[in-house]
Amino acid sequence: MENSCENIQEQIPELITGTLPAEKAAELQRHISHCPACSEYLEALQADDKLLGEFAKVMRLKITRLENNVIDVLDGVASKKTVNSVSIVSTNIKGPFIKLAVAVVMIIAILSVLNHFTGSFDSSTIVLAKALERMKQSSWVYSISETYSPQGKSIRHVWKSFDPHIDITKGQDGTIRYVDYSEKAEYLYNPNSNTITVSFRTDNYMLPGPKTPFETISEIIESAKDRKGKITRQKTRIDGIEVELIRIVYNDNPQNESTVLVREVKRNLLTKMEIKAIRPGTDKKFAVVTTFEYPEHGPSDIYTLGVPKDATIVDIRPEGPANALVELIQNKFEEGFGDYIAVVLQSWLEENGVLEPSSITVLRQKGNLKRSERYHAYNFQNRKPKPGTLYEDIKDNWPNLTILQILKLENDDALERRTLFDGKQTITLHKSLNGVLKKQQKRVDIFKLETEDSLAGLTWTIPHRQIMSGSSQMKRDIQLLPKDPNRPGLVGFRFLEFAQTDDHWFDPNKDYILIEYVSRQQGSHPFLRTIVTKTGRTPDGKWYPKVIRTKSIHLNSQGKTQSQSWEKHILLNTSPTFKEGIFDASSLTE
Amino acid sequence: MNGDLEKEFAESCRNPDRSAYRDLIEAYSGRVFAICLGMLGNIHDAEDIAQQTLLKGLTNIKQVRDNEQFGAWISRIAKNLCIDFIRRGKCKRSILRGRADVYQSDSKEYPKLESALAKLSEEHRLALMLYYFDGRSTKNIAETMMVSEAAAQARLSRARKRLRKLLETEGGV
Repeated sequence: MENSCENIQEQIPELITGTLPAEKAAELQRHISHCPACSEYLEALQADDKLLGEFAKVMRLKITRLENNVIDVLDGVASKKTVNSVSIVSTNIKGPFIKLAVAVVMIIAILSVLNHFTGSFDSSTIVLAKALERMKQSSWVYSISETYSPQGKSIRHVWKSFDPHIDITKGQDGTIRYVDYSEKAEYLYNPNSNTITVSFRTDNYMLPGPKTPFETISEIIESAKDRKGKITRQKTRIDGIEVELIRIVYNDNPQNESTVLVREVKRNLLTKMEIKAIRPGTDKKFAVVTTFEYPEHGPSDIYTLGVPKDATIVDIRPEGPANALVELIQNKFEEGFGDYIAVVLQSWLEENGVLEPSSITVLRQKGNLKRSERYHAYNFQNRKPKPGTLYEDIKDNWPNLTILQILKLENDDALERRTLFDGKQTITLHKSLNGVLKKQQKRVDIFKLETEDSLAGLTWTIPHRQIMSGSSQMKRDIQLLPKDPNRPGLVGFRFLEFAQTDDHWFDPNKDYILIEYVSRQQGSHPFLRTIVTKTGRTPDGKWYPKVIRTKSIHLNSQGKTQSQSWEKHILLNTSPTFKEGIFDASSLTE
Repeated sequence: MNGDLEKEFAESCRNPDRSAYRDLIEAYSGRVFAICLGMLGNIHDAEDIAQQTLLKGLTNIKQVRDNEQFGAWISRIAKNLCIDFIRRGKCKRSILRGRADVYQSDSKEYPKLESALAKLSEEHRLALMLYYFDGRSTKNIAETMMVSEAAAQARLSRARKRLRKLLETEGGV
């Protein structure tokens, strides 16, 4: 019998998985029903199965979170990526983008809620605006957000200081992120490995002034002005303190969507915000309850938040002689070109040397106001639905076109996306291939983050962005490249990330513009090489790339190599005139 | 290579369609997370690398010709990133390995399970994670581990038995 039991128990795992043929399963069940030992083993494996199932459900929360992070990042930045920009591959969404992502999710949620307004706003707007101004004068804001969703409850603690600019987040799992922008440093504590990772972090693309989690409240006020809504105010006492409840009413779905703000009357500060909403595009309900406190002093360092003193410190900030070149290039990028209109004509480069139109991007900058438009120029032929394209208008002269010709052709039918920085925020309109427009707003200057959206980005790249991207755990290795006889006169640095290296070569005789960029994966062919094949100079003597050629070699899913090439032709006017109001947010059509 | 088709696909990919991204992400996030957790044995690292995998996969989606191949392709990215992570992140990994026998999870719910999973071999852990995170299908395990379905079943069964032993040693659940 013992031998038989051993055989039976050997097959019980398959019984759990359900992969045994019915006959075999029945035979096993017959034995088990009479055998206490095997029955016990079956029960134990069933319990394990249940436990693993529950574990997977709990982990599903994490998976959902990372799904949302990835979707938000892709929504926000993927559209800025063109085929020859690979830096996005290693975007670290746990860095500044995560905050953007969270803020954007909340703002989208709130805006979608506001769509349903049916009444109208009154003087509450002014009351709220004053309360917000008062909040911004506080040295620190500490908020605790509890999010309730069908997956359960999660808690997040956030401290913010405006001057010096410090952001601190403590998540449910004990992870603590302490970012001191004045030090350009981020301290990330991982409780599992008991390590503090120190990395480089800059806020130079963020907007000056206070940034708080409750900027979403400002968004509510701003949006409410334009929309039909109904707001009610009611004075009451909570724990003996006089407060005003500001309630936003949504007539069509009062059960599932609402916002309540609690304002403490005496200090004129918001102390609580409750949002009930449905995640846009889904029927998933969630609620966020945030309480605000205004301490005089915030946590002075990561240890005051409970991080053990014996935690291992891993400093992954770049060091060494390459740093000087990195900073020089970053400064060049920030200095930029002043006011300009540039047109980027992007083509597929066929093997026979023919340039096939792909897209046309118009870049405009006036002071710190920026705008970019990308239009389809590809011949979509019989694609259905067929997106609008400028192909028919430009095919005969491609790529020998002038800025003036392109500006005359600009039209929204062929628009792929439009991005505007109006000094306060970046607004992006994406148009999907089936013509649906989507709008996003972010409180950052996205033109300082995306190389493709500014002439300066195309000319010098953005080293700080690359330092901040990549894994949150790996040492940021940047090396100076030794002089290369094949690249006479050029200087360069190499970023090392995982099994990837990114070499950048600059020309010191031409304002240090980026002449060549090579991205390689471990042991393989270069998988992306970008070379400036023609340079130009502005009337005041600044160098810029006139023609940029890119070749990408990659392995397809069958393991075969494929290559594709593109070329960009850049037209530049550094004495532009702009249409009145072109940099106003109101100039964007939806 | 069908140049026109590929170009058109790349053109469409440049123009992100949220619903398309969402569908792909939701379809493959479980598998990607399972691979990362299976190979790395640590939830924090798995989250990190899974995120990177999805981002890398979707931002380079133009390299895949059709959606049927997306699963195999993104699995390969996940595996490569895990291998890179293990190779370059030796310190962190060895800390965890060194601690395996005194592994204390920060999870209140499943400390024994997580501890037992951390002690499983990579092959066994991967089979289990793929099963529970990727549709409870041995076919999916077979695809991802690039073995026959029978071999996938055998691995899963061995993993169940091994896990049971480890859980018994941990004091039962």
